[in-house]
This record gives sequence, structure tokens and C-alpha cells, in this order.
Amino acid sequence: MAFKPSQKHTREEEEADVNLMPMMNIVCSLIALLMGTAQMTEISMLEYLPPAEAAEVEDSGAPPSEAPKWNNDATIDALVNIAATGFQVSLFGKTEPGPYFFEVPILPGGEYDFQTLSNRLAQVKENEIGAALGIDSVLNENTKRMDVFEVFRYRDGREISITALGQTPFQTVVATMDACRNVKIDGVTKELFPVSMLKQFQ
Amino acid sequence: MAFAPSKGAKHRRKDKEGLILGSMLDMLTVVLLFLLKLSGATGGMMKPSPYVQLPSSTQIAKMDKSVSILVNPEGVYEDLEKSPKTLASKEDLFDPNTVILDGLEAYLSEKREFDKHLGKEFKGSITIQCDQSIPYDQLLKVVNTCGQAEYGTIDFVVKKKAA
Repeated sequence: MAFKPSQKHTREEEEADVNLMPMMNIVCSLIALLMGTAQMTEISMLEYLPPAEAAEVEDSGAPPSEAPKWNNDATIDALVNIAATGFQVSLFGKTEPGPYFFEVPILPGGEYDFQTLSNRLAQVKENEIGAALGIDSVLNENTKRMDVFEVFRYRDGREISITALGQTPFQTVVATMDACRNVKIDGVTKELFPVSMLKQFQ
Repeated sequence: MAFAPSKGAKHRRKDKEGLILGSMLDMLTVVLLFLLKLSGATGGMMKPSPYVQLPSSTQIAKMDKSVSILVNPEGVYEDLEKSPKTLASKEDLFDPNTVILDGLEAYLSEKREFDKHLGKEFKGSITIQCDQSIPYDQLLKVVNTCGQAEYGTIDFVVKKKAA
């Protein structure tokens, strides 16, 4: 009598798959949660130092007990006024048209010409302020790090004051600050006046 | 005469034709990592307020959470999503005789004293989410008030745009 074939040989082998559904549910829930909280608009900070604070930062570079490190007591007093007809740029406090007071008129469409302002300020930086005398650093009390910056022959060679008519919208002021901060020439970004101060329109 | 049911059909193995979840899970994991990167680090610390239309700027600076206020055409407010406290009214902003906004100054002084009470170092930095349509004279009132309350470092929140 022949033996009956073993059941072990005929039984189908069950495949042991990992159940991915719970994992999929968790991942889908996380994606929904993150998409809900994610900010689609990228935001940034525009740092502004009021005049008194800017002067304090500048003075903190050279303690009074020590001899001044840089012989740059002169100031250029760069100022951009956002007028109804365009930008008025003044250097050394001049208000009569000439090399130290010029205008950047508004475009035919009535918009401010930020690109020309940047280009003219780049000329000022190159011709009047010139190359940096050297590099200095000052401790930033907020970040507790040393802020490194260039020193020019004018003590305020990195600063510019901005004034505007009372009704000038904040967006125009921000765009002017951007135009004064740096300029892109032939694909290279060049620093102009990174410290801007908002002042009362005179 | 009826035919007997086919034994082949009865015993034919039925292959499962299920979804291939492995590749889908891989894709979802990549999306998840991307979203985590987007919401993590510095960017997620502050969300633009729904009450203001932020100006755009080419400035690239890291976000730093500090005392935060909102300035919109209706007044100056605490930076809270729900029922923000009014720190200066629309009338205060439009009043040509007002130079310092009393409500804002009181709020900032209170914040400063509270920080001192907690033993925190007072950094004097403030973050302002200012609407892009705010006129310059109103902006100066806010800035002057912050300076008066010893908040010397002011950060304006802006939308980042390509240079």
C-alpha cells in the first residue's frame, strides 16, 4: 500500500508581506499637516538701525582710551530724498544742483527709477568714497558675533539717510533701501550703502 | 445532460493583482522630507500675518523671533493671530500732532520690564510687520516710538523677491 502524499508538499506557501497601509496613512496625514502649516511665501528681515543706534555702533569700534585706528573723521552725509518728481541725492549736505546734488527723475510711466539710482550711487561710491581702507569688526550684541565691515575714508561711507514725503508708501521706501544697499553690474553684486536710516523730510 | 463543473477552473490559482505600495511610499517619503525641510530651520519661526500686505525686498536675512508688532492702515497691533490688542488707533496714526504713540510705548515698556523681571537679557530688538501701503509719516511715528522705548534694532518683515 502506497502512502498518501505528504500535505507539507502540496500546501501553498503563504507570502508574508509587510502591511504598508498604516504607514501610508501616517505619511499621508503628516503631509497634509505640513502642507497646512507651511508658509508658501518666503519672508525675510530688513534690518534698520535708527540714527542714534547707528552712531553708537560706529563709535563702539574705537574705544576712547585708544588712539583712533582709522583716520577717517570726515563724513560724506549721503542722503536720498524720495520726492514727487523723483529721487534727489545729496552729498556733504549740498542742496544746489552740482556734482554733490543731483536728481534721478521718475520714469515716463510715473514710476521711480531704482536702477538709475543704484547706478548713480555706484558712481558716488567709486568716485567720492573710493576703495576700502581696510576691514574692521565690532561685536554685535544681539547675535554675539563679530560683524566684519569695510572702512572707508569717510566715517559714514556705508551709511545713507532716506527721507520721503509723508504720503510715500512703505513699499517705495523699502525698494529705495534695496536700491541703496547694493547694485548688480555685469552679474556681480557690489555693496553700496548697506546701512540706511529713515529721517524726517526737511 | 449537464456537464460537470470544470475541475481546472475550480482549482486554478487566483493571482492577486494588488497595488504596488512600495514605490508610492517612497514617493510620499520624499514629499514628506521636502515639506519638513521647508517648514523647519529658520523660516518656520514666523508666519506672515494675515492682517498686513508685506512689501517685497531683495534683502536676505535670517528670521529672529523677538517682540513683534503689526502696522496696518487700521492701527498698530500686537502680533497675535486671534484678537490682537490695539496699541495705537488709526486716529493716532493720522493725527499730525502725534509724534510718539503712547499706547505702543507703554506696551513696549511693559514688555521690557517683563523681560527684566524674568531675568532675560534685554536686546532692544523688535520685529515689525508693516503693511506696504503705510505712509512714510506714519512709519516714522512707529519707528520713533520704538526708539523712545529703547528698542534700537528694528527688523521689518518683508517678502523675499529675486534680486
